[in-house]
Amino acid sequence: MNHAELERELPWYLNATVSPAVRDQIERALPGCERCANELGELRALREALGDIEAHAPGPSPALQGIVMRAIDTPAAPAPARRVNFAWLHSKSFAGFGLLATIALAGIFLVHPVVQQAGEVPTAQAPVVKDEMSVARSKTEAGMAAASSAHVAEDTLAVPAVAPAPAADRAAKAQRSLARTGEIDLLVSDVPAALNRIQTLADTQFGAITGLQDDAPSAPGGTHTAKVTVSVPDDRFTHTLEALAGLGGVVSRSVTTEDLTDSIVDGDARLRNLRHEEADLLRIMDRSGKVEDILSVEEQLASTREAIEQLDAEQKAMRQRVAYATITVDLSDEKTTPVVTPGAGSQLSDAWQGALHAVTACTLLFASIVLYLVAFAPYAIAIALLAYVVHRRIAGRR
Amino acid sequence: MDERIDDAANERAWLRRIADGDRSAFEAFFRAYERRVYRYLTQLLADDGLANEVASDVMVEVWRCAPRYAGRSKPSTWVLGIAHHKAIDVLRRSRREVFELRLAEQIKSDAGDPELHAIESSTRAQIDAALARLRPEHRAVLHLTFVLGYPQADIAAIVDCPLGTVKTRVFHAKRALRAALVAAGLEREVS
Repeated sequence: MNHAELERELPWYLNATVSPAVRDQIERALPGCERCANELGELRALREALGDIEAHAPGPSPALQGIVMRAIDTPAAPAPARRVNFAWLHSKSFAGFGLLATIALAGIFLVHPVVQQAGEVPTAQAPVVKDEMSVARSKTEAGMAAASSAHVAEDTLAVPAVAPAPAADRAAKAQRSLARTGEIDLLVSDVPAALNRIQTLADTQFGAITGLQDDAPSAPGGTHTAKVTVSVPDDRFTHTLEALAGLGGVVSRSVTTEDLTDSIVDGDARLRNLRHEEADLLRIMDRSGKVEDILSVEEQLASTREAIEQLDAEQKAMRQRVAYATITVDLSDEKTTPVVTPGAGSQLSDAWQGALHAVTACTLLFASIVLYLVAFAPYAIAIALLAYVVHRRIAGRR
Repeated sequence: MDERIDDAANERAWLRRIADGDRSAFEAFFRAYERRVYRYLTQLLADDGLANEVASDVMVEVWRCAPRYAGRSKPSTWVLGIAHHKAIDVLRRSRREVFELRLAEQIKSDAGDPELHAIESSTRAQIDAALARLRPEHRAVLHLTFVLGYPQADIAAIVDCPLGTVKTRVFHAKRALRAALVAAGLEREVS
């Protein structure tokens, strides 16, 4: 074994898995070779660093065991027949691939019922692994709660204190994929102030105002109204609604819940199926030699990818609806805009302006009549002449 | 009963019981391998969520395929081999790049190279960041060699390639890691 070969054995010399012969060679070479000694030192440092990283690395999801244990209790479904079937698929070399594809497709049907059962198990075993929103939310939950407390403390608009989301709320949420919407109709003493407080509330709950319509009264006696749509993380829905109710008198309040569990689970299964199909098509394209076969697979691949993109977008939208609840707040001012009684000067001025308008209108009316008469004068003269001639003839006969 | 999974004989016994449908044996096996499989998948996939998903597939496959385990390889090698193949399949599916390393590349001398002590002198955070820039198969062999401490033959069985390729991959992985550390700004520190 030459020097370069010995150097390549050093990682396994370090973890004591080389053969005794190789170990002896290395130990003989090490004292006289500075480069190998340096290399060994570096490898040792690398092992320590990687070990340190490993010691601090997070483990798998706590839900993993529950998912797997439920999966093994589910009998394997028969794999559906493949849609693409070229002649070379029957070759011996493709048998292994066929087996892998069958296992992959069977996996789809295994995972589907597993995820469907998620709604019937405790939170600790809920399959939150694939729910990006839930994972992200759980990761930031602690930090968000701390930030929330700080934000509320600094709030000068005295937004009602917001407690952390209750465990029961989170547990219920983890079991089903629920998209919640709330509506609340409030009577407030000051609409602009209420809008400011809603903005602050949305901030403290890590939500956002997604819609605002502010209708200030345009005429005396009108009412200032506003409609605000607030989007908040779902586990903060209840507390946000309660906090909003504290902003004024509640006229009406309603909560609507849409269960998207089945839609999401079905969508996931269909998405997984499509991705397996895409992978199969890619493999087929790699193996296919004929141009017409490649074109055919490409056509199917494009169609499959389009379906994947569409379904993926739908799934993301549904998860977004589950992750964030929407609350629509209708604000109405308790008091109407006061009607102001005008003074005597203002009334005389209005009367003078009215008289001027009336004179102008009357003058215009007379002028119009005169113009009409002038315009119709020829007809009037002709008729008068005719009447005169007839009258003379009748008088002559007598 | 001794549940230490490090013992290959015990591991085989676990797998035999799993093949007979023993759920408690599978649960013990799962607890012993859960983190190891997940961490290995994380090295290959660089995606925690995906690693969890594939880890569940691997464990289900262990349960279903235990009757077919012939005992020719160590159970740990067998399980990580399943994980490796599933992860590579996912990577190919998602069109991520998986490269075959060139074996014939000439090894240039590192003597007097200012990068030589880059790994030695870097911190955990720097190495962690540099690792993220490596290819999946490089991270995998580094993990198997330096974290799990597996012998060459086991690594070759897990990643399904010849012994020589394993050595070459580790060599190139180490060199790529060193280059990533230098690129991350360690030149001044090591010079």
